[in-house]
Amino acid sequence: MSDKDAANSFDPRQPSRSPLRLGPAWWALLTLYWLLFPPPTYAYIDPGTGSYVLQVVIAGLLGALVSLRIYWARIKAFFKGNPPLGGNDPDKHE
Amino acid sequence: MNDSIEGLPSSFRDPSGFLFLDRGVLYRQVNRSYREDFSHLMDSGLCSSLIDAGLLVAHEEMDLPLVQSPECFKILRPDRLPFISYPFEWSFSQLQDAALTTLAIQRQSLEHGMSLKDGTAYNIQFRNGKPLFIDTLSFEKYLEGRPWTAYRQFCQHFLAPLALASYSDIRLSQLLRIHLDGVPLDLASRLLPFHTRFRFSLLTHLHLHAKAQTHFADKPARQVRRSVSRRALQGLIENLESCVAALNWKPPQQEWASYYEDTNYTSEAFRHKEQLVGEYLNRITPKPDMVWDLGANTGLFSRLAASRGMTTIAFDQDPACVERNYRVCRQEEDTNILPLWVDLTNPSPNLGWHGRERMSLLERGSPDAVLALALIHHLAIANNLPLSRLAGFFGELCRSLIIEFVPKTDSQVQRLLASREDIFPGYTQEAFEQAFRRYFEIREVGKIRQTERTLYRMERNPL
Repeated sequence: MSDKDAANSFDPRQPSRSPLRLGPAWWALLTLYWLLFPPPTYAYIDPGTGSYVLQVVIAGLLGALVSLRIYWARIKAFFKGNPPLGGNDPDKHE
Repeated sequence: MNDSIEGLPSSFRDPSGFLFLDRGVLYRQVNRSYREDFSHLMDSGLCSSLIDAGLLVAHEEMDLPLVQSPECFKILRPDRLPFISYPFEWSFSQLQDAALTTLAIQRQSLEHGMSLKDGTAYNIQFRNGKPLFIDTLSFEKYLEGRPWTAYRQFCQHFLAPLALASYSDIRLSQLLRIHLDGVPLDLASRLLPFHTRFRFSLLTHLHLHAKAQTHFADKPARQVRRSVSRRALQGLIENLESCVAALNWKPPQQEWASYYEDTNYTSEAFRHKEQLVGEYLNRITPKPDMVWDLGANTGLFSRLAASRGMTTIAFDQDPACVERNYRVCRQEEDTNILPLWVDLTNPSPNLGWHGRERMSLLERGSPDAVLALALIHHLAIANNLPLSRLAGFFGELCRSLIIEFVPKTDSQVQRLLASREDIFPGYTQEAFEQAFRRYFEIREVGKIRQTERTLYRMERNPL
């Protein structure tokens, strides 16, 4: 996947990703809420506590890498004079 | 439940619904508890986009509920598959393709605001040569912050056996036959070579995952107050995809995979055998829908049946043969062949709860015709099976049989006898014919040119 594709696939302007148009402050508040009160996991299979904890850590790390990749693509786009990809990023507080 | 309705023994875990048979037709009941998720699956367009992409089994919603039960929300009739295979019968690339399909579906689900709630390999089947997700009730509405419930199951069902096959030994993927909920991660971690810890994805998803499971074994998940953002989840799925795609297994150039090159068949003998098998297949009436090629090797003769529009399952006990067969089918888009890794002397048994959750091989289908080419001497001589038992087995299995008799004087049999005492005075062509006549009528006999082998076409005697 090229950087551009990656950036596009996470484009927050895609309606399927973020149907709600909220400002960054709202997103920060929402995220804070989820971090403090995560939804309980009700599943018919046992997700496993260890698997759950590990997933939180690994996914956090991998999510940060995805963010880095997207910002890097934007920086490159900026210096190349292309219009920035995904201006109003709901996840930019990460 | 009506008397005619019979719930499938494999369908009991998920409270969202279950599969049942009604007068031989397969249906899926969707329970009321799954109503919201099901509506989202349909309304978000996820269901239709997955069906259009050939990733999810199509279904028809039935107008009238067949079942008058209070939990029943809808009844679906899913497309019926010609054969159900199990993950421990797949070659490396089949399991890998199944894993990548599961992840692709999870990625698309997230894009539609849904997530897979289970990651079992039994939700994948092969149809027309491609992996297909068969559980319409595996999707749940995605809640922001919720981790992927099926992460543990995905690692156990796919990543662990693939890594073991790739880095340790292909035969370790057979651990799936013992562990129906996937290979325990602590076991996988112990069996994998130490250097796999230097690959980030294997270190995290398998080794550290196993440690985390042990460490948190007696602690409830409720105490964990952390969430996973959508982007983090996408990062996780992408990483699993690249990890699975990077695993590889090279089938070794030995045993039966190179049989055709090693054997002392002349090309003329080979052509003649192909011609005879083709003619015999043409003369089976009615034309078989389902053909099982037992001891199919890399599937050269299976292709003769498949090219005649017969659904063909190509069984072999050598994983290298099955792997090569699958790769050729995939490359040539041969949609009529399903290669499977099965040892005929120890076929897949009944497994799971009540011994009924996963069906034995012979319960899962009955072929109209069977190809048994260059097989009988392996069963009779390498496995000491008396000819009478072999005939009984084939007589139970199929109505039409194309079988090759390989006499003791053949160099392949001599090879089998080279390292052991010949305790098979009864292994003769006359004895073979006599044993098989008990169950079959011999319709055609053809000597394969430039060999000592004989090809038979037989039809089962009326029962």
